[in-house]
Amino acid sequence: MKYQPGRMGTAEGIGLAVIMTINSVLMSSPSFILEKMGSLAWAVPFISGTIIISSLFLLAHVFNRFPGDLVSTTEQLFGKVAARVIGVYYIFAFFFQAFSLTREYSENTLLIALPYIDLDTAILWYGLGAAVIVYTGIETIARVIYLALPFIVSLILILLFTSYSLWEVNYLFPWQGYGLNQVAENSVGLSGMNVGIIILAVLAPSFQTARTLKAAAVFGVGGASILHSFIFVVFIMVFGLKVGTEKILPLYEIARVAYLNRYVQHIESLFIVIWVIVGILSITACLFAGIFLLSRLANFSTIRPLIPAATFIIVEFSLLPPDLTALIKLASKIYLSGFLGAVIFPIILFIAAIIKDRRKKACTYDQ
Amino acid sequence: MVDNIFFMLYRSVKNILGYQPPSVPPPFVLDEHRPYDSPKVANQQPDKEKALEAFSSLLRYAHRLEGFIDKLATVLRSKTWDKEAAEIKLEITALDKQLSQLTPVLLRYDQSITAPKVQRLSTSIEENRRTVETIYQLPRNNDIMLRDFSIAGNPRVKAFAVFIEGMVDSKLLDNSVLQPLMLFNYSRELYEGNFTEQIVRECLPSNQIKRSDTFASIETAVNSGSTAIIFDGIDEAIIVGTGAWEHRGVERSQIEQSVQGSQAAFSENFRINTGLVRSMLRTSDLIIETIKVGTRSQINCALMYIDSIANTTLVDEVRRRIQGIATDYLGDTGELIQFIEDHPSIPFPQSLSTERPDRVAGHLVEGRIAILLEGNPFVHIVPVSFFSFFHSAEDFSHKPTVVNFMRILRLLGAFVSIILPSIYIAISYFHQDALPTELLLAIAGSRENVTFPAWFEIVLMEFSFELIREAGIRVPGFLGSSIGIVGALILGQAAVYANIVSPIIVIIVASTGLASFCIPDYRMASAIRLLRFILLAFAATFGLVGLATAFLWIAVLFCQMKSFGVPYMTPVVPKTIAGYDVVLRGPIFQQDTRPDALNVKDQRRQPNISRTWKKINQGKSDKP
Repeated sequence: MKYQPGRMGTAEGIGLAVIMTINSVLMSSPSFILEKMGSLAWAVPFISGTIIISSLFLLAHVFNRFPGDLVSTTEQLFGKVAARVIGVYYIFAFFFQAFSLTREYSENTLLIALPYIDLDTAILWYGLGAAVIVYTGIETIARVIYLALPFIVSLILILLFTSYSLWEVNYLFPWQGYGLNQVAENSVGLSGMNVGIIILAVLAPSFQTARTLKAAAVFGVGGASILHSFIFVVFIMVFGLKVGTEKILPLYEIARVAYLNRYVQHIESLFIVIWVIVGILSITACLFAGIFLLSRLANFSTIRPLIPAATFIIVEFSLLPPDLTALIKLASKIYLSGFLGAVIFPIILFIAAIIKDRRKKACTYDQ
Repeated sequence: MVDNIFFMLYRSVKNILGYQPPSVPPPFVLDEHRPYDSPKVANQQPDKEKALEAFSSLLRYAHRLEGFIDKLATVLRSKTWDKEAAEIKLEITALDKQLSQLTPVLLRYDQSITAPKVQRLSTSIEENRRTVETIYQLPRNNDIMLRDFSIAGNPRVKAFAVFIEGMVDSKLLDNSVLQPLMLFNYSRELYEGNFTEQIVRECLPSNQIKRSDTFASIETAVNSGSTAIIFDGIDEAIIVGTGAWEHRGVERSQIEQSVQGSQAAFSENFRINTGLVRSMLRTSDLIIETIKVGTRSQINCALMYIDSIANTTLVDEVRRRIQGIATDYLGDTGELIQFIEDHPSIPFPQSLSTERPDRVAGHLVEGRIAILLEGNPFVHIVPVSFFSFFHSAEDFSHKPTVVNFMRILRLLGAFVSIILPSIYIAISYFHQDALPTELLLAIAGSRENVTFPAWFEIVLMEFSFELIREAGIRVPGFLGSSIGIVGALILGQAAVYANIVSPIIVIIVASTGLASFCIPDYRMASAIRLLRFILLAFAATFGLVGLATAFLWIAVLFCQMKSFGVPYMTPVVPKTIAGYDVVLRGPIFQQDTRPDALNVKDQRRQPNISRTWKKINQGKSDKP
């Protein structure tokens, strides 16, 4: 199969894991989470991160027993039809994420960087930016992400620390937020937002071993969760609960209020660079995963002819929602089903693998 | 059938609808070296091979004995015994000595315990020749010369000389070694007394001469430029000092000048160049293969590597690519590299071009391959990573802290060279709020009378700068630098006075140009200069958004590129064991391993504690 990606290691896995989860903090979700969870919102990334890591561990266990990728393993456990159904679900999930990210990043680019540009042009730019990178294959994509990761994390940390003079620790209290139960319940539901992390399972054969996959899950998702939590903490400390819930792009707002001295007054430009790099890379990863799964299900010999077509469709879909609010509403509904892909399916596959494994052993003993 | 637009359109539609991936061979990826790549030392040879080798030695002896018996029979029949007596006596002595060396115990010892170079000389010229061929891996090593001749005298003794072409003085070898041995001593009786002693005393007028009976000392001497003469029937060789490799006096390095370290540079002479590398790396492990390139004008191309270090797959691949060049003429190593590199259409260099033999030696020891073309003073080293282009020749001559500062400065220079004009355009066009108000007002004030848009100013000045630079290179001698200074001063000042450009643009373009000269590799600097114009277009169109996208695409390009199967961005991506010489350089005594990405046969360069004197001192101080 020509579309089989190359070899990847822990570093590439970490890159993919981070890029698939980092979007939630760059977008408007922190203010939404803050509204629901109060001052304990910083705990959400930890809880949802732990759930995602656990579900990837379950999948790694399944791949150990039944080697292959997500589709082929499902086929071994449940047959062809179930594999097709699950495959189509994830194609939908990845393409939806690609399309919503394209629109959100384009809209917000207009808001923060290029106010006079057409929305169509911005969407086209992000689509083109992603398509060019998808063409080079997942090995390159993952490597670029890993290469960009230190810069992205450093720039985010610089942004956060430049707002140091505005930190008000008292805003973190009462530390229980709106209640521990509510935080726990919502965190489980919100883990569906990170359904994109399943890309690691889709590309499982590319990783050297199941151990690599586990390491990528722990360091990638774990690292991203710590970063998310820190962003939440700083966001709460800078704006407080009430004002924080009103901010559309929290990280951008932090960048705007930061003031170092009369020579370094505005550091939003740093944010624009992070914004564009993360945006294009996230769209790229989602687009690749969707096209890869589509080619896998349809048994195409290569993914390259699908890239222009899929990009065109994503770009066209991105233009459909009338405004950003409509898109956010639609996304919040769709993301609820993300829980199915991020948590439920891995659990089902794990249980099925255990049962089938026991049956296999029983048959072996009978002989 | 005429190939018109309709058929072309039909074919395009057909290709799109029924797309099939092109059937091209998979790209070469340098993998871990396989077990059979490991250097063949005697200890690792299978028993069968050893037994076969011993059996072959016995057979050769038997063959020689048979020949001698035939000859003896002929002499006896012809009744010219007195004429041939000397020769027969010598031959009998030789056969006797060889027989004593072929006793099972000695044979077993020689074949299994020692590596070829540790063996002692045999009395059989054939055996000795075979050992020399094994040590120097002939015929792969093309600059190692074995010259057969007969020594004039009674009897005529067969002999051969071993030397490295390019490391010996040919005149000295001809006049002081070969000529006296081959021509001047017809009446001399050679079978009396100690043969080599007699040759040294009576025949060779050289002032540097010694005798040796082990291949190890012969190898060391030959690698240093001496000539070893090995005789038939004698288990001792004569080593004559003929070393005269071209050094230092030839020429100084013009492009890669350095304050410290060797100043010698390659020249246009092929053998002098290989000799310069040999003089730096005195080991028989250094292989210099010669491949003819070009169908009409066949030019020698040397493939240099250290056999016990370089990955065999890599060597095979480079050799395969060079042998696969089908062109009538190649005049430059740069042209050759374009034929064999992975991405010839990408402007970024994928091989390191150097004119310094010390640099070549350093890279060969790391496990890389050097390619040298006849008539060209530049050697290309492959494979390399992006970071190699920011290292300079004298990096290891200075202390790490100083070098690290210089390396950071070079990288910063490259970054400024790429980004400064485009970031100015992006900020002045789209993100004015990023600048402090005072600076913004100052820039606006300086641009008040300028009639052209900022992007035009930048392009104009960049273009002028490139013109000055190119003119400075093309105009010979000191006139070139004069043109550069006069052109830059007059043009810049006049442009500002005429309100064609603003002073800030002159500062930006001058800083950019200056920064680009920090990049040690000329080809990398050229590629970066080209990139600057592309980034300028992105910045002028989409501001920082365009700039970030362009940077991302450049990163993608770098991550996709390979230099002879090794990823261009290694050891950062894909992540490999980095060692202490990537962006920053660690202390030289801590650089214990070779670059991991090269998948060399022998990973370790030195032991963990390479400063053993420190360990010893510590031990002593511990004693009461």
